[in-house]
Amino acid sequence: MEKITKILMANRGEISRRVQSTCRELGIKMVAIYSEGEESLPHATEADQAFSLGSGPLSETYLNQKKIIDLALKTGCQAIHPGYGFLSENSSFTKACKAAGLIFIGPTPEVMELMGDKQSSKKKMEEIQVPLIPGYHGDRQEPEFLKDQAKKIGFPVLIKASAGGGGKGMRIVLKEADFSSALDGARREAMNAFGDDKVLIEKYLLNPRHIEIQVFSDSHGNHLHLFERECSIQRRYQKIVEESPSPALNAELRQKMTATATKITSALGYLGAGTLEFMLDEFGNYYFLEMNTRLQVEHPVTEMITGLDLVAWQILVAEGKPLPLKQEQIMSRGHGMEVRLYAEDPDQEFLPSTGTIKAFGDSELRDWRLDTGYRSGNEVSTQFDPMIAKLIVWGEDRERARHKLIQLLKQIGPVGLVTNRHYLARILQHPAFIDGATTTDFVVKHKDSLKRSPPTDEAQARALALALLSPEQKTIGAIMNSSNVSGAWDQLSGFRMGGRL
Amino acid sequence: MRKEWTVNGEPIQFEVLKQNAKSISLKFKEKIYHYSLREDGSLETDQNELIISLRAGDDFLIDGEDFNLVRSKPARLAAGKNAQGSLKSPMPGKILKIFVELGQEVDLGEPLLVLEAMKMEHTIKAPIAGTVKGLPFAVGEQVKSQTELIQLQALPAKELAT
Repeated sequence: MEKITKILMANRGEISRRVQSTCRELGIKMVAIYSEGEESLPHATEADQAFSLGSGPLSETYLNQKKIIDLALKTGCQAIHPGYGFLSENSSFTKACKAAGLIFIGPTPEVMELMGDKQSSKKKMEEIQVPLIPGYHGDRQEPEFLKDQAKKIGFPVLIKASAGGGGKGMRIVLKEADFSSALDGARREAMNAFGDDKVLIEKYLLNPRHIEIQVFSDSHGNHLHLFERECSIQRRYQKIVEESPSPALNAELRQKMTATATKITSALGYLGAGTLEFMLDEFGNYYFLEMNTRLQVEHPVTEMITGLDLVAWQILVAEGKPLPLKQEQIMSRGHGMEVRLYAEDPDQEFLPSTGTIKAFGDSELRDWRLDTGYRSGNEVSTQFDPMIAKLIVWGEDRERARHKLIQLLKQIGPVGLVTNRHYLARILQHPAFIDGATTTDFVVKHKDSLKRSPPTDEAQARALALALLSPEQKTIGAIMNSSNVSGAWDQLSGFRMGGRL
Repeated sequence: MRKEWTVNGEPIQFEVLKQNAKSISLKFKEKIYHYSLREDGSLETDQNELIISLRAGDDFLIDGEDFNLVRSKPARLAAGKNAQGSLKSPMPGKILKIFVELGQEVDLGEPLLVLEAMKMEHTIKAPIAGTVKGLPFAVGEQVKSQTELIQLQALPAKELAT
């Protein structure tokens, strides 16, 4: 197979920078894309070449398959990396890449189609005897019929958009009386988000956890796992805190779940990086939820505990090479933890916020990463995903990782834009989180104890003192400049070397 | 020297007792605090304890708490705006549902309309008890950020009292 020397990154923001960072280490040239108004964002300014896709709706820019493929061909790229979101799980794009003679860095379109549809993926799981949550996944969609199915499954039930993801078109229904209005709402959201209002109904598990297994497969029949990530802390089905190892798994359960994951990838003849998402109940029963056939937002957690570079492995697999390690050579060491910083105001019902990131702070701590698509001074608009950064740490154990992350949230900020930073710190300091009682209903269950208490008089006095002592209109403290941001990634490279050699 | 500033939109009063280039003593809400600056610009207490501090212009991040400081009294009380009950769209979106009619009286916290933005539904609730005086948009219309979605007139005080 051919050696890849130039890749087009069909994405934006932090994931574009993340892939660019590995490519730089591998001596691979990168072509970035951006839309009008994003010229000054680092994913555009740091690439070897960057091209504007113009303005307009996403269908004209980041989802414009033809423009992107033409650009890759024109600039002499051999491959396209889709990142996550956008075209990453679009099988017609995968096929179009292939037809144009380009390598799509990801699985085959057939597997993507099979696993991308909730109903066909579940049918496949039934075939290979992977446990599924009781539910109705059929084609019949009459409201009365669906209600009967819900009764048969037993309340509480969950209504989900068949084409869905990210919590759009989802409703929890606690009792029969609420079913019809919840169904209407789910359908309306599903139609708006995906252009398809087909839904499925599932049993809603009590005290469940979201446990996912990172998998990797090559074209030589190797199907490996890179352990689990627990992503139970979610708000409106968006993950906000992720960690590995999961406080809920013992060695035996970990062994069972990872074996199920590689059984699935073997049966699929999977290729590249993927994630198998499971729900785990309090009795240790786990059920297949869905497969993400791409690199995941929270992949750095796995990089932290394994010391591996998942993007480099994706490229190896795309070149047709075998994975460099055997299963028994992949070790999980210490504890990885990530929080997602969103431009939203937790004290104003999480409404999206906009504004300028005036400054990111810096830190003297070791083994941490800030993966962000922004630099100090960049504007954040509501045009794209509100996730502005991910802060990821590695610690010898869970407590050390947790303490480090709390400290970093204080040091890194950012300043100038309202984010969920303080809310994340409140989660990390919550007694239930410390105990590892991380269930998917965590933020709802602890709603009141996660509320912000007003700053103390002493805290206000400190702010006044700093305002008077430091020169007006100046940025002070340990402020990160753009070179430090990539420095945080280099730091991990150092850790990686240290861990391996 | 007495000062009146605005912290996170709220008026506060404090007194600077002593200040030089590197240290300050101030009195705030009947308590006296002493702080000094470290070389890197972070603050420390009089017990030499570090306070993690970042500052960019008027925005501060101090030991994990955010502050926005304005060196003057609030120009107008924020309450004045709320009393009028002007409700602006927090972001661009589409009006999905309207629960109220012109002239209708609404209670504090009553849902007024649903705005769909970033593919999620956001319910806009009444910030005050009042009467609906204006409904400039219809269901299905697109609105820009910071557009007035609904006008509410506060109920007269005596009605509120009953």
